Amino acid sequence: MYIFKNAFKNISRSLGRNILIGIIVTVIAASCCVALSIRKSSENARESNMKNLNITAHINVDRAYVMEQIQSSGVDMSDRSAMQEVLKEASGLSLDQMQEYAESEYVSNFYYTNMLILDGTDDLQPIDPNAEISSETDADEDSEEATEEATTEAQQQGPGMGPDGQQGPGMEGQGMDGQMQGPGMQQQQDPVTMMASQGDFKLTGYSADAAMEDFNTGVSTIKEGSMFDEDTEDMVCVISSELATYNNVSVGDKITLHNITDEDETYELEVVGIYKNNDSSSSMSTGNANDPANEILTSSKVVDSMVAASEDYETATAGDAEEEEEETTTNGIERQVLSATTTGSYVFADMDGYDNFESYLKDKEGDKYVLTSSDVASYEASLVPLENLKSFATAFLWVILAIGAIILVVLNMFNIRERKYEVGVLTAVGMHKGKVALQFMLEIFIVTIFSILIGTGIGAATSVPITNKLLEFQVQQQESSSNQTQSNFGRQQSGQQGGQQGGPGGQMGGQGTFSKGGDVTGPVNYIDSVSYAVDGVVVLQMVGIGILLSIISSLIAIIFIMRYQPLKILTERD
Amino acid sequence: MSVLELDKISYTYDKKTYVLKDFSCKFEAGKVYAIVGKSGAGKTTLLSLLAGLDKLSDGKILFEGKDITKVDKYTYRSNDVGVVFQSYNLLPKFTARENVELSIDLSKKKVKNKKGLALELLKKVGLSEEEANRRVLKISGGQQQRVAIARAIAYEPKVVLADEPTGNLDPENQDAIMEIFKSLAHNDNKCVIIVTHSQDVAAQADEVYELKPNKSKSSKSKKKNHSEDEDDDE
Repeated sequence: MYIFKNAFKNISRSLGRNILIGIIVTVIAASCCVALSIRKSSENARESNMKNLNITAHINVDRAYVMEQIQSSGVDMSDRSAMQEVLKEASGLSLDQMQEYAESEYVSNFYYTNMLILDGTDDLQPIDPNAEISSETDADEDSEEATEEATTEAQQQGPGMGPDGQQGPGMEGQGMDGQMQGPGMQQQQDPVTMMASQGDFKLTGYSADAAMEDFNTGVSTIKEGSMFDEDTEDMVCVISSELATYNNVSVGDKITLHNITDEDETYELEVVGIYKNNDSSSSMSTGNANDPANEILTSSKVVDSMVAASEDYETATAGDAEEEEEETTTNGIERQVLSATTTGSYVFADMDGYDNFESYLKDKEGDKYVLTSSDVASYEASLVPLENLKSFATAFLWVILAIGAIILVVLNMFNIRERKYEVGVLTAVGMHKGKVALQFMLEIFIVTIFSILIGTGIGAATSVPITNKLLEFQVQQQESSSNQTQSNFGRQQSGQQGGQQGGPGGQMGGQGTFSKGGDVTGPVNYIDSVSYAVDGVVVLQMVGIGILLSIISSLIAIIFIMRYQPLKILTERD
Repeated sequence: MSVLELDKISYTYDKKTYVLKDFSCKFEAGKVYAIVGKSGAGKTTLLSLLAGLDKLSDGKILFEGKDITKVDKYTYRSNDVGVVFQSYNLLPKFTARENVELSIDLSKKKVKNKKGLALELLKKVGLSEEEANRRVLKISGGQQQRVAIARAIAYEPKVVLADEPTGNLDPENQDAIMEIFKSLAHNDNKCVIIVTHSQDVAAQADEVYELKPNKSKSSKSKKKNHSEDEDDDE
């Protein structure tokens, strides 16, 4: 008991020295508290957002794996047609297969989109930013020629071919890039031809409301009329406000589309709603069908019925095949039935579900298919500044602790040497060295813990603004880096360009797509602020740091005290 | 029966030159002993050995028949002997009273009112309550010596050791301090051993032992008032 009493007396009667130690410990504690709170914030942000993260993922063919298989199977690599055959066989999953996987216990929801590329009639023309250039530079005749050439290319690629990467509302960036479908082919085309070859309109059918991500996230909103019913089989659609204005179409009007390889194969859809896309990135599109303004939305069942109707039309017109062949020969166009590109989306409630499903898929399909998700990639990307800050905070914490411990050890070394006489007197009058050491430790402990508490208070009060300021700086750096790449290369960083990389999947049988990784599809929403940082865990960690620092700095005191001989000290003093 | 007995003790710093060599003597309760001798004769060394602050090279020191090297030296110093150091060795951050209280805390003595006992002891050695509550650096050398005596006797040790207790004091204070020691021995039945080079102090002691440095391997004790042996050359 008297040890406590003496310790408090010594602290109060050596205020100057103890205040100095206290200030140093307080600064160390405040710094450690901020560093720990940054670490904690990062972990909290990861955990809490991960819990709320609804992960949407897709099953894609692993292109690298397929290429390896082609090489190992002995296919002549110079024979492109042979390679194309193999690639066709290595197509994505069929809708039935996708739905089979959707039955997995790990999947909380499944939906899909199917897509057709169609041309408009004279009454429905696509928004074409290049039309002006064409009309200014080419005569009408030339334009017709261009269209004709475009149709020829379309014949080679098939009507079901998907757009070259640019995603529409709700679509994830994925798909096989142009290289896979014959790089030489596209390189020989002029830009106008390439765009026309993709058709005028993209008709996207959604299997569920949940699939319409842009409408769920508010990127797109219904301006007039209403959204078609989920799973409707009625021939209804929703078009963009730009397209409606351009063609003077109102809600209730009917629009007519036709197979890009056969003008006579027409489909009539009633416009039940007009939507506005709040994302202004449409100007970046290459090709009419790629322009979000030219996207027409409907139910997947409508697309299915159109595909079925196209097949029926094929059968019905089979009798006139000879005549048609002549026509084909005349126009250079081979008629093809409509074929939809289907993209399945699996929704997982959390990361565990995603990871488990990934393992399940690997067990079932081996390495051929990969599970990719832009949500996970996007989420990881959003954490980059906070993770950077966490790494910095961790390094900073260790440096502060090391420097703090050294400073405290040195201070206490001087302190003990200064109090050598006191040690000599106490031991000479019969106080055990151990008790003297305990008393000195207690003094250090009391000062340290008191300062740690003050430092923690200061740290708690300042950690959130400091963390947010540092985070802001990190986000700015990250965005600056991204913008530099964007301005220099005209595209986003490799980790953020999944949408642009994706290519048409229709040629591969219209099922699934090739892609290697769930890249981030749009601008990353970085986590740029934390709401709270210091909690019970941080306070406990701070107390732990206080005890650790006390013990480290006391050790030197104990060593000195144990080495001292009272008679020697007192004799030296005399 | 002697309280403290030295049995052929020897002390050397370097195993060649002996400060004390085969020195024997006995100290009894109720007497004031003076150990005199010239500088370097080993007076302070002897006191340090008696206080258990230094180790013997040879021989035994028996406290109430027990070898002090066999008992815990801290317990021995905090309970059985009280030491008054030449330069007082008080804790400078503590008040006079707190210095005395600390020695009570360190001992096994059960005291309910430590503060009261400390003040009483300090009063006994001549310090007022106001002086008792001052930090020791704020009182005079004579008063500090009294505080050191009060601290040494606070837990009622059987032996009080004092190293030049009057060395820094004027004659008036010197006599007053000696009166305290004599009172402790004669009234409180303590064994008081004073190391001094002062003939005046030695004159007031009941027995005097003289250490001779020129006979490095011997020491000499001299009885004065209550002597049983005359000289003890070894």
